[in-house]
Amino acid sequence: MSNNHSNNIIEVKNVSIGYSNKKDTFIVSENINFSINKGELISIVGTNGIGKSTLLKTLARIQPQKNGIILLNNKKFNEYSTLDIATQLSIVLTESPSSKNITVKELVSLGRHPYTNWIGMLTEVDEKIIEESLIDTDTVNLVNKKCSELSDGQLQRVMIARALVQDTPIILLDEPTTHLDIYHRAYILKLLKDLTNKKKKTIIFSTHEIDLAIQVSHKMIVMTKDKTYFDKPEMLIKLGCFKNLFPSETIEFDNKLKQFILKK
Amino acid sequence: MNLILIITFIISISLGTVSIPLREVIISLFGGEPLKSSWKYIILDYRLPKAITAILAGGGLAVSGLLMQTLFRNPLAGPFVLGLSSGASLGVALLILGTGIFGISFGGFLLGSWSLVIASAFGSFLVLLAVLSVTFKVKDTMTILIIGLMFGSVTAAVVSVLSYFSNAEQLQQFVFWSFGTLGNVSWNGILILFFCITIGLWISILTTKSLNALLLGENYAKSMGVNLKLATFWIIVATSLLAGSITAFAGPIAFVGLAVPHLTRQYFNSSNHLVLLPAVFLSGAVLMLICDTVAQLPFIELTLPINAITSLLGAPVVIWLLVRKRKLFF
Repeated sequence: MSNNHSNNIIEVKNVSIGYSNKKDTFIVSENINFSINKGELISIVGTNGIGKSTLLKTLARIQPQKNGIILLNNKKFNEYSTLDIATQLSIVLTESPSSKNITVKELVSLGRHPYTNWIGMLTEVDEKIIEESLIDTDTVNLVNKKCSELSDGQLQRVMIARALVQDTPIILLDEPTTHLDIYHRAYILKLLKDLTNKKKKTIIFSTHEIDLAIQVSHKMIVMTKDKTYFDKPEMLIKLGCFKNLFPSETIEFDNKLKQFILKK
Repeated sequence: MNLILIITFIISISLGTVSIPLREVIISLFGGEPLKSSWKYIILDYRLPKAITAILAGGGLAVSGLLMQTLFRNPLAGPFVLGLSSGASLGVALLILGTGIFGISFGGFLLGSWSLVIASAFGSFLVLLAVLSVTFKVKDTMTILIIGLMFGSVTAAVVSVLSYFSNAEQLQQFVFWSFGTLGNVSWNGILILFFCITIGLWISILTTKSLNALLLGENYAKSMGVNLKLATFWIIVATSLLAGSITAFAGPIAFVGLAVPHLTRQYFNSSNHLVLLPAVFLSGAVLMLICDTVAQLPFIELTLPINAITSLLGAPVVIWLLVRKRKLFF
């Protein structure tokens, strides 16, 4: 059981992602390959519009893949029912909840949706999981607040709490650090790291914080126009992936410092 | 809340053109003989059905407003704003006015209660379907509202064209219907209305779990295992059943569907549809009974159109909410 294969939780083979309307299909990125093990923290980086969100939404099965195979627990992605998927992966999106009037407690409790009965009654087990997730994300003191009253950092934590409540082995987050100051950015990333270490969650998130992502991720997915790279951060640095990410006359990646330096 | 409903229910019954003492009202309601036998007749055959219609109509419209606000993720959604009532009007107009124009004579049977309900529910169902098909194309909720209003204008225009070619008698019948009235519903009609509302409410209850998930938005709902298409379909069926059947019997009644869900959310401080559904139904019923009582204008031989009263009461409430909260959340 200790071979590499059984530890695989997500495997992506030759996948193309994109979106389509009635007439055309737009491929955003193709030939994506990676395999993710249980308990890994994976970050997706790349320039604006390169397809980070599309990749995440494809992995969440909100958007269908255009080509290739995605395996979840060595089983084809499409063979899962919507409800089965809901018990396997949860998401935190950039869009804020449509209802601003909803309280934090109500919002977080909604994460139990795949497990509750036809009318959505919470059992004691549900309540306990909710309580735990609130503690883990340090949101206990927010339970009675409405979503409209939260700061960006608080809302992000609440949304992560909701994903935790959904009790899935995999959590996908789309740019969880945008709109946050550097402390809260670090806080969220540290929280994600803790969740992979302590709760053995597999977490995939997209971000523009390449510097921080290098420090915190087990492996990274670097999306560029020509190719999508997948490896440990050190290997990606050696390969020079980050060097080519942006035009070097403005900003350049320093391999030793492991961060971007503004050109004078 | 239940208590308030019962109190307003009795007040509504006891007030009217002919003043009847409260004690006598209660006696008649429980099957006893009041001092005058005409009182019993007034209460059992006129005021009681009217009050029951008010409860069904107010509660049903409020619930349909709640469903639409969640489905469209828009605080301004409601059966009236989204052109649902106009759709129902069109259905009824085609039925009442169209029969004359196209020279089709279906006899008295067609103008019976069932055909009114079917025409009206069908009209509102069509408009809702049209609005929804647009919703899948444009994601912006503001655009959807404007499109709903446009649908309303179009149906209103068709109705005017129909009216232009109709004879006076039919026109009068339609105009009276469009004023909105709770008083013209017979016991038979109430039975039909009760039947439609009960089914509508049951479907609403079955969709509460999906409705709650939809509070987070479509993508989140999907990620939590909601079958969006199925849920949307049932929510629409429930809404058109509720709004359609009520509009058929009581005419287009404005603002109840829009205002009551907001008031209830304020009061109960909850977004959980399991709490909101019964609360909104009761609040809608109470509000409608109050409007009906106001419309009665005690001691004056006049009954105002209920549609005017709900607008007179409802519009200021929405304005007050907007000014106080500066933003209308749902």
